[in-house]
Amino acid sequence: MAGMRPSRRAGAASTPDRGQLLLAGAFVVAVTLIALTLVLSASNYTATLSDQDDLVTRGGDAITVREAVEHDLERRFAYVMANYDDDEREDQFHWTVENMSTPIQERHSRHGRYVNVTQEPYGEPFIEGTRLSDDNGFERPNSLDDPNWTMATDVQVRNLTLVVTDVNDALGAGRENAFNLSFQNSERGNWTFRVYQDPSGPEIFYEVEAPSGYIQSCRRPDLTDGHKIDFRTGTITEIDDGTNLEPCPALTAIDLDRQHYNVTVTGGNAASGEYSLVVDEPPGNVDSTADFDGDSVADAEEILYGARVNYQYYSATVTYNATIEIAPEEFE
Amino acid sequence: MMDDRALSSAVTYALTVVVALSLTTGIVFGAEALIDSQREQTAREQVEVVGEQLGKTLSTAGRLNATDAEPETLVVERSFPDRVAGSQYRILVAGSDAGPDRYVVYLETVDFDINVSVAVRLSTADLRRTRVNGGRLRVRYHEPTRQLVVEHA
Repeated sequence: MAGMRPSRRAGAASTPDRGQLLLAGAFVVAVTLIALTLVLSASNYTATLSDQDDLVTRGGDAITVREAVEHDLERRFAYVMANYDDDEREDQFHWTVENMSTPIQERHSRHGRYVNVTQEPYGEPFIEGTRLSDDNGFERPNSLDDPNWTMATDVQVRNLTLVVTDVNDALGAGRENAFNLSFQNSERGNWTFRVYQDPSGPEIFYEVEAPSGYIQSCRRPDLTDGHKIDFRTGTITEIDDGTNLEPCPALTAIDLDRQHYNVTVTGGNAASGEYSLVVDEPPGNVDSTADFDGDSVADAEEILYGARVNYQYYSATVTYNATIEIAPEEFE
Repeated sequence: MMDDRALSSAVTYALTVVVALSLTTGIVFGAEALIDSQREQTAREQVEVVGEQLGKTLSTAGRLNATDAEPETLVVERSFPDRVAGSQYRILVAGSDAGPDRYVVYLETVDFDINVSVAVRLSTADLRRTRVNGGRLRVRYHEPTRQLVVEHA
């Protein structure tokens, strides 16, 4: 018949159409899976944290740099104090700090950080205190040799050195007849340092009792020329040659922690020797039962032993501005 | 006879689609369970890392505060993620029974039942008890109260 196409089997006639449909369906399924994956990935996106934590980010670098600067300042302070006269020291150290500033800034700016040290002329750029000393024994000076007295009230102890030349045999040996030097704080408790002779022998006991009651001690042979006890370094030195320096762990256990203490002596007649105590207050503010008015054997001398320097550290995550106190040790 | 036994094209097509959908659905459901498990594990690991990093930051801020004079300015900013594995999380800073200088940082997620705690010891400053959402945080020394404060940056 004209115009009529030859009949085809249904399956053969629809094969190309079904193929296209299958392809389209597969494409839709594939796109759906990809979209699903993207959505799930986006919703579950988790930032990598491990590379976001380092010393600089956390602020540890600010501590490291501060400690390095502090050490450098202490070294320079010691140099100034050792090489310049009293009236030159403050100006010289101030000039030294100014000269440190630019190199420090340049060094750290290369690493994206701003670090600076300054010493402001106002406020209290230097730390002054008092050295209390007496080379005539541990009894209360100029006061009928009272063995129990207060060396200083409500002070921070910066440095302490004792020289013990003898113990009083007449009082007897043992802890009950000891020379006691106590650091009393109503909140933190009392530290007590004792000197006494071994009841069973010639040895000398240097004993420290903590606020908790825990006692540590060092023992040394019988006194010949005497022992020098340095609380800052935690050492005991034989006076005769000055070279036999030995550490005493009991001394380093004393933790006065920049708190205010009353420094008292009991049993001052139990030992002989001399002391040198550096405190944070100027002489006029040191309250003591010792007489420092000139008639006394004991001395109260104003000294310069530290400085305050402003430290600044800025990085992308850290903003830090603090005052560093430089007080390496006592100086003449 | 052969034509009688064959399936029609519509049935063949329908079967193909059904099989394809069944396979896809199976994959999706199977993947969902796997992904949920992985999300929870990832969220737990992330809040643990955030907690450790925040704890270290607090310890470092405490060390920065350990100067003779109180710091005039002390701020440490940390960019923690707003979400972990798609879930928000909260941070609670609290005290500890272990001692006056001991603290605990608790982290909990919103979508999962995850709670993580990190112990922090600060001997140089008090740590203010507070609750913040995760994200960009700032640890700041508050001089009037002598406290370290955790807050949003």
